[in-house]
Amino acid sequence: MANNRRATRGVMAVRMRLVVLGLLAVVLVLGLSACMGGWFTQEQNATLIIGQPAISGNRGEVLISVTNMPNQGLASIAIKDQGITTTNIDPTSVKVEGLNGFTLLASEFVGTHGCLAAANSTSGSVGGTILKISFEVTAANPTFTVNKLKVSIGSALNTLITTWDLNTDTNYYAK
Amino acid sequence: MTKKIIITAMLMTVIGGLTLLAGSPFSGSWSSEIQIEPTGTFFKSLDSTIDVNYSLGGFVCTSESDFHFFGGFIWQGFGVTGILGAFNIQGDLLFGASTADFIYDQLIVTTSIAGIDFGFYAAQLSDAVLQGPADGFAVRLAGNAGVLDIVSIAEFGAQIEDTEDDNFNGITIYHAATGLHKHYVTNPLVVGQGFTGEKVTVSGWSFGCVEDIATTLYMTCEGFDFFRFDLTGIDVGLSWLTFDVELTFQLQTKSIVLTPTLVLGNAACIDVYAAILTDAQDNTIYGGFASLTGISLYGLGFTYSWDGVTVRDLTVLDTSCYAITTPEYGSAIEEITEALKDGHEFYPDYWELISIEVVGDGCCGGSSTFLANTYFNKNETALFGWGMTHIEVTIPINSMIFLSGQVEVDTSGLDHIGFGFEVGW
Repeated sequence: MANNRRATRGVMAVRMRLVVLGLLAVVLVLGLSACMGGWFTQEQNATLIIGQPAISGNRGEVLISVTNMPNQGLASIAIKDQGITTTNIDPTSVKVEGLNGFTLLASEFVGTHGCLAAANSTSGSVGGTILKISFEVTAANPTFTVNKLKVSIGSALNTLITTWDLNTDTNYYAK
Repeated sequence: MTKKIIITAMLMTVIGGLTLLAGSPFSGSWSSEIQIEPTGTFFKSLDSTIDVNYSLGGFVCTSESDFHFFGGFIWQGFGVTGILGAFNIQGDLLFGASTADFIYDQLIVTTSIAGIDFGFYAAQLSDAVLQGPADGFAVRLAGNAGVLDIVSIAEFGAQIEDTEDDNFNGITIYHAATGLHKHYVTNPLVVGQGFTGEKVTVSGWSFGCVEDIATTLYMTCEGFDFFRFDLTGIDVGLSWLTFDVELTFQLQTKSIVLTPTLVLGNAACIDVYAAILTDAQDNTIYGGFASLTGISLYGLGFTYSWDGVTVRDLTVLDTSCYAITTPEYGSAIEEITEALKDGHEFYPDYWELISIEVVGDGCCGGSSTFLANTYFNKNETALFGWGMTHIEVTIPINSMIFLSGQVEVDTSGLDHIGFGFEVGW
């Protein structure tokens, strides 16, 4: 019985030593390699992403997404009058839908221009899709563009987000 | 008409033929679903996923293809998992099919020696992704010292997902035009592989009045980042109330957040969903928000099962903060902020669900299921405030082939009809 206890204590002591030695080794390696090599931090700007129109037959969709939004995320967006410009899209068929907690407050599409406002009353979105715009196309290669100067975005902390990029040409983004 | 019959026959032949692969090194599944709306442009959505697995010498190779109705062929992923001696190996490779871009790759090698778990995580993100290019790796060591669990993660340009820490979420890659996304645990952050961070977590301490104490130290290349104490389940002498405490030291600041938890006993058949309220918006205690303001009874639930039949009723009393998730996410009452954070879809307008689910044996292997969910809307003036009914049926043709159908009807009429199949081999 006493031998068993001693053996158990011995095994535990060996394990403890191994854990401590392992951690010391990591600290040593880090100490030796600290900050050598590249520490080229990528600038992660807050970005509003207008997806490329996805078309099937005479129907299409555009997704509006965000990434790297500060202050607990984006919670409101307003695209002022004529902030959206479209071509080859039937303005009467445009339907705007809030995604991931966003609710459409107002939208209007007339001719080749449009505007909208949407908000999320429960939380902000740091990254992900926020709005889906579906429509019928009237000719090939429809376009959906947004003028950054006519866009205002607000955070979940009820502050304006002033430093951000508008991206209309990326196919992929990460969160 | 003849064309439709020929196409249908060919499809059934292909689906049936795939089951003949059973017993070969190949295995996998093909699931596809089409939704049709009676008005508008007929097709509402078409989603299809093909998984192909190939087993060879203890390794399983996987191919996964994702299609979207509007976007077409979006993702082509490859994976490999297996054991090589003492090492467990996992590799993932992702391509953007519609743009013919390499997107991401990941290699994870883990092993256990003398009670210590070693893990090597490496990943690359292509410049086709907005945040790319990036690459890096991380080394994880985990072991026990008595009752203590010690985890050390050395980061060389990459972070590993930690499900218990919101600051370490892995990486989710989105296709901007369709919103389809893929998630991986290794998040490459920078170009180059110098030391970028070290996180040491020690947990398992327990005192009489505290269930668990964990400490986390995080250093980056720029120096000390934070040191955090997490105290879970603090017993305050009240059987119905516990607190979690998060105390964080940063270089020039110290913050403390207390999260009160209401402890409810086991209910016989009615589940009560309740939470402690504070004067802070997120119902925690911090800074100038130090008052417990009440108890919120935000939902009720009832579930009863017999002979393969399950009847459920869920009622959301506080629809401003809570919602019912879609059937895909378990039809549960969930806090909206948590659902958004976890990517769970939910119905923002429905406050009550009555559900009947019947699971029975199929005629030729597998199980048949019938699900009818009826939702009631807070804003509708239809009979009893009815908002929408969603019906799903799955029927096995044999143990490897399943056909499914669904109908969704809301107050504006028939929303859509859906058909799908899943074949495994």
